[in-house]
Amino acid sequence: MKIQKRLSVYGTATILIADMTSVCALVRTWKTWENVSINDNTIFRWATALLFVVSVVIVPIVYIYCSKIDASLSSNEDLKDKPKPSQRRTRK
Amino acid sequence: MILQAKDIELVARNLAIAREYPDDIVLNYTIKSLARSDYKMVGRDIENELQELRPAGQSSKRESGEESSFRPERTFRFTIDSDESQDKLIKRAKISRVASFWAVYVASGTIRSGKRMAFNFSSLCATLALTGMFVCLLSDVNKALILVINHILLTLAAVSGLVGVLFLFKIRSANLFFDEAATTAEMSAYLLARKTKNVWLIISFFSLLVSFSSFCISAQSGHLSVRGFVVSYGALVLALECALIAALFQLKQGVALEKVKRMTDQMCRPPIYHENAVVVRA
Repeated sequence: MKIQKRLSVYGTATILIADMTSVCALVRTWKTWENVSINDNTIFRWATALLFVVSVVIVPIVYIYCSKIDASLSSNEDLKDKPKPSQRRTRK
Repeated sequence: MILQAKDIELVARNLAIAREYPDDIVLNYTIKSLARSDYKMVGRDIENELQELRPAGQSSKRESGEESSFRPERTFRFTIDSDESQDKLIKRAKISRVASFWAVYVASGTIRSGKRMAFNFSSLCATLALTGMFVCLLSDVNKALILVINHILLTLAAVSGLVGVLFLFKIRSANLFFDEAATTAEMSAYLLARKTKNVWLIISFFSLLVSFSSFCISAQSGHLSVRGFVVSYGALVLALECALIAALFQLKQGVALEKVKRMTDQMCRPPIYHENAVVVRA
């Protein structure tokens, strides 16, 4: 199950990095855009803030779902090795 | 002779293995079908199928008066003739009156493959349109031609995506296998991963549509406005993010499916007797 948990952690981390990269790219475009008016500045500011908030909100949701799946998959792990009562041999 | 429930389970598992479906889904459906009023009739027909499935020399019949000691044998593959068309399979199912189980099974496979094809085609068109967008941004050569091609690709992607959504609703309305409550933890993990992946894929698809529409509208005026760029960029990032999340859940789904298969495989095995496990009868 360690691999599963690692997959969840690394997967969500990758998504977070991709998000932050996209926010940085937007900020860079904003700074290099020519003839930016005050109205355009407001649009860029709101867009950057919105993108950042969406990223920050989505990543924990994804991690919670991944944890749920991991928990379901690992719930029967401990029980598998134990013999069931129906599998026990009876001595005559 | 009334068919035993375990025999039906064995048939269901064999069919599931043959059709590469998770066994539990089929088992759920089979158990549900046991509650039908025509259970005995369906049972008789499945029993006939069962005789074909069993290897020569083995029989499910029990001697009269003897206590039933049925143990499910190790499952073996129920071979389906690959040359046999879907129509023939459905016809055969109708003839053998296992239609409630078998034909729905085949039909669901057809719907699923249709949905997959539609979404794959939509993704391909969307990727090509995205490439066209970037080409359009980077160079001024043949801009009008690329925009026209982009429009065609966008239309195709949208139509194909809608066809995929239609298939999705068709599966939902048929109320086949996935609406039932999962019986095992592995199965519930599989269903959760699958459902979550589908939700993210749909969000990604619609974000992509918003992005492309915004780009096309803003590009019509000849120059890209800040508002058009921001909306298009934001939607594109959201689409990419949702696609990444869907890929993560696709991996999870694959692992969960492996677990489900392993679990049902263990269920089919004869019980293992542990040397040290002893129960003394009173």
